[in-house]
Amino acid sequence: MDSESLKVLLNAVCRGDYNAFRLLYEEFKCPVYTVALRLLNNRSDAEEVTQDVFLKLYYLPADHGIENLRAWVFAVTRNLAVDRIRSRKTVESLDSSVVENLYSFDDYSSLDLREVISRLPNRDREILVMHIYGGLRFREISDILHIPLGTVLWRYRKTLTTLRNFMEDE
Amino acid sequence: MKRIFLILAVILLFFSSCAHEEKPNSESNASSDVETLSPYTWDGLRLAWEYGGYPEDVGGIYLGEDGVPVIVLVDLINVSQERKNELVALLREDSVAFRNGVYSYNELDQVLNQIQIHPDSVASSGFVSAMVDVVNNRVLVFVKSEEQIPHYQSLFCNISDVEVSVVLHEVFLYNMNIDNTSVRYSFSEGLIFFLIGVLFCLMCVYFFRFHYFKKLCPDVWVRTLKPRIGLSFVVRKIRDCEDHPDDHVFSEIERKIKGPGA
Repeated sequence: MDSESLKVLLNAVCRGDYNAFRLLYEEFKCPVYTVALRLLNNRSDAEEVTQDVFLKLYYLPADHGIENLRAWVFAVTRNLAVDRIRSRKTVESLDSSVVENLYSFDDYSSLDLREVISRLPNRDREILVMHIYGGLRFREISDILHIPLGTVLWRYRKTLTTLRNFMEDE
Repeated sequence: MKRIFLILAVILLFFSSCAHEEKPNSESNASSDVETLSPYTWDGLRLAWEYGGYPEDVGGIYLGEDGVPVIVLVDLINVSQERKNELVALLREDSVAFRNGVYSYNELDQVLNQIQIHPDSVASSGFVSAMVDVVNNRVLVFVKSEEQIPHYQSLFCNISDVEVSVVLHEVFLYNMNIDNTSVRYSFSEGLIFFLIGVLFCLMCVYFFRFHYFKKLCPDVWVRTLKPRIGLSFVVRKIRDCEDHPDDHVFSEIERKIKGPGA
């Protein structure tokens, strides 16, 4: 769906059009859920984030001022996921250190691609999933993450190369 | 790496063919009949005369400071206007200047040859080279040090009555009349040598790298033989891993929007 159609649907949602909301949900449900799942590595957390994103979308005021709905949706998804990771870390500080240790590529064997993605460094994973699943441009990702465009491009390429090495070793 | 070698090889072939094409042209000009060919540039006429022989009444030809070709004529006052017109007709340039000279080019060249084969020139380490100085209608001899000038001056002045000047080699470098043709040749030849050098360096680097890495990790070569997976394929595979939320996710959203009773 192009950005104009998304804008029309968003305005309809803001006027209380439930069907428009359903259409937006159908458009974004998979990428939003996948991005959340890849960032959180937890299904129930990803489902909750997905719900929160769409509820935020549904309750947007009429004067929302959103120009790029796609970028907004994935920025919100990413922020909610990051908030959840932060709150999770404070609760499970011990477990998180174990999780950090898992971010190693010494042994690819018996891993599928999803697991390998989940073991990527956070920033690399964010860039990868927002570009591939979210369909965001690198410039948009750079704005959301507040990092230079060159860094985004370099990290994206590096991540793809890492994943390629994994696939070649398989 | 293969592509780089290919490009370098093509460049080398191109420049070498250019160099080979240019040389025969100049030679054919030189050997052609001066009188029958269409007008020359001053430099073309100089070359033609150098290879085909100067007329007896001509002391040489050079480009004056104002850009007008100057022909040095022996005993200029007695040269007829017809002869001057003949010489002018040989040149492509509109205006030609004439200058008086005492010796013809052939006389100067004869003395030059005698100097070059003189036992003292061949054996001595002080002698550098000699040339016909067309502008000053004399023969110039270049030596290495100032102390040797009187010796050579007295030696070569006895060869004939032609004026022979002995100067320092540095002066030769400073006043050298640059031959554009030879500069062009030397430039293209220099470029070829430079490219050959670059090619050689690249090959050295390539072989060094090959052996060095092969020694370090022989497995790498086994891996590179396998066709690499393209990055677009990796992206497609990642995209295929997209997950779908369960239906209850939307039910939950709906419930939250419409309230618990919905």
